[in-house]
Amino acid sequence: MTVTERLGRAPVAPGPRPARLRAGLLLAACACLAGAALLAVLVGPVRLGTAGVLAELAGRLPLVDVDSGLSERDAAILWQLRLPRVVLGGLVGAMLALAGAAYQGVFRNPLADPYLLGAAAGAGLAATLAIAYGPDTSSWPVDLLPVAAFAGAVAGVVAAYALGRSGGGRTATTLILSGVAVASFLTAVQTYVQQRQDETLREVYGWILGRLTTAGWSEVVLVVPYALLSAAVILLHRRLIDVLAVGDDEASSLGVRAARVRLVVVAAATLATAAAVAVSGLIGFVGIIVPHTVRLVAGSSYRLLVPLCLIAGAAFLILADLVARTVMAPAELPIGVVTAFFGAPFFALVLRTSRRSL
Amino acid sequence: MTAIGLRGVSVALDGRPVLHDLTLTIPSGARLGLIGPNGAGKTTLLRTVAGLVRHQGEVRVGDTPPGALSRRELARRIALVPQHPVVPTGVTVTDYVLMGRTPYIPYFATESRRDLGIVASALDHLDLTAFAPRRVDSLSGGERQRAVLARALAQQAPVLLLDEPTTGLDVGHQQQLLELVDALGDELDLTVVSAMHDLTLAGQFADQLVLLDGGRVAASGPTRAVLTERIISQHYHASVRVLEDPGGGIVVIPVRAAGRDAAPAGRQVAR
Repeated sequence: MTVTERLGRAPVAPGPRPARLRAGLLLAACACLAGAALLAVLVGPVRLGTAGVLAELAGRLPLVDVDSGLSERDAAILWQLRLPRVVLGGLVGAMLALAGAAYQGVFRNPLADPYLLGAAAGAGLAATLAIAYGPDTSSWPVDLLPVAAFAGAVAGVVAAYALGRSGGGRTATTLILSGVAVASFLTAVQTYVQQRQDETLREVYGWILGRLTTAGWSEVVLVVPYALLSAAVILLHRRLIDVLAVGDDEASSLGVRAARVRLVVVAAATLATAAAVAVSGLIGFVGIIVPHTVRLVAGSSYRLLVPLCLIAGAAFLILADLVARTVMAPAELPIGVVTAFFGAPFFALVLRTSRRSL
Repeated sequence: MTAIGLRGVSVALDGRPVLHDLTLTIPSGARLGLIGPNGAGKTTLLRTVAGLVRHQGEVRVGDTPPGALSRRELARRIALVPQHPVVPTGVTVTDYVLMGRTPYIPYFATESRRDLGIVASALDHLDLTAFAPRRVDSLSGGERQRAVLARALAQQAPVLLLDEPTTGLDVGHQQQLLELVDALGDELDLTVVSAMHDLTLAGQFADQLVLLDGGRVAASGPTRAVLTERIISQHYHASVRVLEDPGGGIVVIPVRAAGRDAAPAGRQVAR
């Protein structure tokens, strides 16, 4: 009898329980997201009624016919102002948390964040160039700034990856260090351009701190394809990211092509980051705090981490945006300031109360 | 039948030759001990067989032609227990052992009942069932080594490669682990190749020995034929006495060489 037959035969009860996303946890996370989204839709300069909003939303479902009782103006606020912004915030938060978790996994580095490999520096430089020297794009079908930021983020990561590979090393550390080199260089160029064109300083600075601005649904439409694609790719690879935790060598001996898995996951995470950066600037902290909070609460397996990060990231950024646009209304705080200001103490609290260690 | 066949295998790491034109046949069901002084190429040989190192020459696994197996297929035939396994943080013993099922689980699927049954069985074989929900990074050295072995068993590979499996274990745990490997090998019909630095343990637990020195096979054959005072002193530069253990097996004792440079022998004693 072979090893296959012998080990395969043994009847065992009750059986080991691997890390799996339990339905209760998933439901709780979804409930948090729904609550955050509803709150963000209701609160603003014009308060909308809960019942009216729920009825209005339900009325859009097929085969449901209810009269929400919202005035035409309120309905327009809901559909053209609040909802697009909440959805965009959710998408950006989900993407940044997802990308952060993915980078932390494939680089086996808890300090990795979506901007690790030069995505932020690349996007920053491209956005600065677009603001400083870009042509007037008001007559164009799409704005130049998001396109430039997207391309810059992707180019930054591609440059870091190419540099890491050219050094002969395919290890995670080589890649991280090339990312550091590329990011420093691009940031230096960006700072130079920014100083030369100081009339645009304020605009560039505002972009770097991050902001969610929407004009109807166009930004959402811009981000959705990338969000869906990268989320699908990373969700499909979540079990393999878990195996990478034992290092490239052992992962290889378990049948995983570590370098290729890392490349695919980094590519997907980069698309997610670039799409988020294109519409929201450089919102910091989400990509590092959300995955770690989820880890402390739910455990470190990527099989639960990836889906929960999508949900928690969305909820976190929706709430952060709500704070950003309400505390000093009618002025808006940069959302990056809010994510750090509220995120850091919250994270410290989770860190203190959690019995798990990272 | 041949489990592993190497023909003319050479390996260079960072341009430095480590294995030279190695030819070796490992029959199925063997308990092969791989010995040799530090830096002789034992680890590199194991890694080459496991397909982790670029090499020249032929490495045959079973009856398949060299280079014909994909990474996943190779992982179903050869399980490697490294000398210093990476201990992931926050991973339970169950999930760790489940990693051994990676070459069987389709890329984008999740583990089946069958996979979990095999994990349970591997845990049971290594007496780890009670540890299943514990974190791997909270285990003691001996428990952890058993967890690594359980992961290798979950690969259901007919060939098990162990790189100095007793590193860091006390004498009792060393013995228990090797007894366990021996029993598992018998029960599951495994071919077991272990790199070992302790010659007495090698003498007790291996049927066949291959002595590597400078990346070449310096001696090979039945344990008694390889573990001789002459061969050991020649390749380890150690002065030893080889004794017959009345219970069977061989005992290698380092002795202080009078009038000679005592450093190599001293190092043996220090172990």
